[in-house]
Amino acid sequence: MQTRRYRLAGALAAGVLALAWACSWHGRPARASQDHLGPAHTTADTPGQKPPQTPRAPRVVRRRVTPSVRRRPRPPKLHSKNHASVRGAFTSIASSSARSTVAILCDGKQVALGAVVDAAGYVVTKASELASGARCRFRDGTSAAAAVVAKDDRNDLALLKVSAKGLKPIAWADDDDPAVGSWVITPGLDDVPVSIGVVSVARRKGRSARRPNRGFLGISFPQTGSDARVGQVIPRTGAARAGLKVNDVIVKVDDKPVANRNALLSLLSKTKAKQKVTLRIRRGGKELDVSATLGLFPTGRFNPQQYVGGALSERRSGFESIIQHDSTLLPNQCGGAALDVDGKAVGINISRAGRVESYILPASLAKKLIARLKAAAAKPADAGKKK
Amino acid sequence: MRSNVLRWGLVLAVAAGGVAAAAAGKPEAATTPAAATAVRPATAGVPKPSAALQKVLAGGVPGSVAEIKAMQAHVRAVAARVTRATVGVRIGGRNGSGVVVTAAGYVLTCAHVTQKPGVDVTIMFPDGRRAKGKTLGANYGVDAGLVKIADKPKDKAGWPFCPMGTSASLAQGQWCIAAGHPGGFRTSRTPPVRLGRVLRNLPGAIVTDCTIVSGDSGGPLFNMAGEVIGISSRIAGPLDANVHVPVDAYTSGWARLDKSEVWGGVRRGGPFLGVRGQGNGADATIGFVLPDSAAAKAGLKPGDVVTRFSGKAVTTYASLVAMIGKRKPGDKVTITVRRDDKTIDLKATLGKRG
Repeated sequence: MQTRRYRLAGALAAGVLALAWACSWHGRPARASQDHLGPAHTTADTPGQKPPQTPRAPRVVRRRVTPSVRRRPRPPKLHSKNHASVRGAFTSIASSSARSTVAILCDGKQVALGAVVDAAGYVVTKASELASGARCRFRDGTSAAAAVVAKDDRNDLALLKVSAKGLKPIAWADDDDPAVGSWVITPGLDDVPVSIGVVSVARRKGRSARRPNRGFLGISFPQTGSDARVGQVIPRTGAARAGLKVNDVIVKVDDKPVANRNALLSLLSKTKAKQKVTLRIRRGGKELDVSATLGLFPTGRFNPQQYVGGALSERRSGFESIIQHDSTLLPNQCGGAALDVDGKAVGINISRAGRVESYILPASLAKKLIARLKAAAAKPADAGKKK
Repeated sequence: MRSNVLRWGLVLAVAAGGVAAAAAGKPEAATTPAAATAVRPATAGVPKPSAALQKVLAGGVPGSVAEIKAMQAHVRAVAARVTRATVGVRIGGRNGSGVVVTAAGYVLTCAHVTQKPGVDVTIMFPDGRRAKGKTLGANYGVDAGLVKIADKPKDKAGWPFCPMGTSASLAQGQWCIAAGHPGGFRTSRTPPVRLGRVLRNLPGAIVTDCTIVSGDSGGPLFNMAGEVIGISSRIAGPLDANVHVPVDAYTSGWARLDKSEVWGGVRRGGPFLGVRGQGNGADATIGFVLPDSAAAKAGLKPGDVVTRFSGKAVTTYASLVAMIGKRKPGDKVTITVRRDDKTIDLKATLGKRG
């Protein structure tokens, strides 16, 4: 078992500032340790309400400093549901979609999966993962440049056009509202599927897409103290990319002095997503400046426990409708089809939304969006008028 | 931070003590909840799997598409039923999960959710019903807590419930289902169901790859008959490190929980001596004494071997921890130690764990 231990984040006030924390311990020998689940935060939804006192959990919180985020997840344990032996049992179901699944690469790295939706060369994927110069890689190892044709921002779906032979479009399921407990199979480029899970919550309307445009740095504070010290660096955030380390103390943001963590939160609350900030940090007795590009503050409550175990999609909620399942996916494994036991696509995996949840855009919605995006692409004059 | 070290050491020790007790084959007299045979559980109607499917559910891998489909039908049937008894638990400002295990309304949850006995609880059912109840006892050693609904159900069949199973014989690879209210109870979303397998069955904890997260605390882990085999408690780093309280801890501790007793492990406000053990805990050798603690003031030193605690013989380090756990802050105790071939009685006044 891992040695990191997380206490549940205390209560938060939505729309104000999240106080999340991890206890940092340095140089302690590795030990089996366990995070507390703790109760979820209270629903303090009144803006301006002071964040309630973070309760002290009765359990110990210990954390080992990890020098860097682990690059690849460990292979699934024997006896686990994603062990190769289990996924292998689903090969015949998934292999029919292998020719309909592509990997989307930007700068040579996989950023998402994609699903072929038209033999003419149309592929759908998760729009927000795309950077410039997208390529599709196929099962046989070849790849081709992919042009972004149109995007639906609300549902984060992108339609790409690729030039390749022998593309087989995915087959959509008739029933895109499978019962809770139904298998969900995520195909990749191999015969063996990438991930296996079950429907956790039946198809439902998504939450509002409205998100305050507030910058997100991606750290949490240690359990004790009041200084602006990094207790935890959330993977795949501005803080991680800027190279912030646990125990760094932030003393300035864009030349404005930071006296304590409340001051830091106050300064950050005035920022916008994608804003670049210069942070002066104190590390090991020295001071240095780092530049960080802020992400978008997550919807709902910021709970660092959600990130325990793996990165989440940055754009992970606010879709028109979703099917929630428990398959473990990396953010770069979203964007392709999610299959039922008959090998038909109940929808497109649209996000890794939390430690316990991944979301599918249901087939009926995906098909509607694809038709709309194709139509938008066919009329260049209207290409800007997307919903 | 140092006190955290001590707590962690003590928690491990208590768990070890629990292991010893179980191995001795003497669980506490189990006063299980009144048999509910006359009342239909929510799990009634779960189909009996074929022998081949039962082998898979017990810890195998489906061998064919037909078996995959049969397993799906079974999981759907179980999931539809067990979620009815998977409740949200609200105590003051805390939100967690729980599962109703008798028609009369006993609810299993976590010690860190209930914390103190006699506190008002709101139980929220996925179908929108709410009920009021009270917290009962807690076993902090494994993180087990009990709640009883006080309201009378309008339905004469009683509250929807799932019967308790057993956890001692859970096998590695056995398929199981976790449910709960991650992120907090919401009527707009049924309790998410997660399928996984038992990875480890330890005396004080079951580890599965059913992912759980904050809000799931106190939520049920079910076997494929829909019986409660565990209660979700905590997570570690990886996605397959999800820890549940074994249901046998509730069955064996039922009488004490029902009587609102609170025991075991470390808890805020509990008795605090201020020592850490040493080595493998086979004897009560003191490895560390926290400065300014009750132990330090009493004159305990690292290397001392505790032989008696207020007259009672101390064997393992875990037994010392258990004896401390039975006391209250402020209790005056006599700690007999062996130091350099001498036997010394030290007087200590137990402090309070912050």
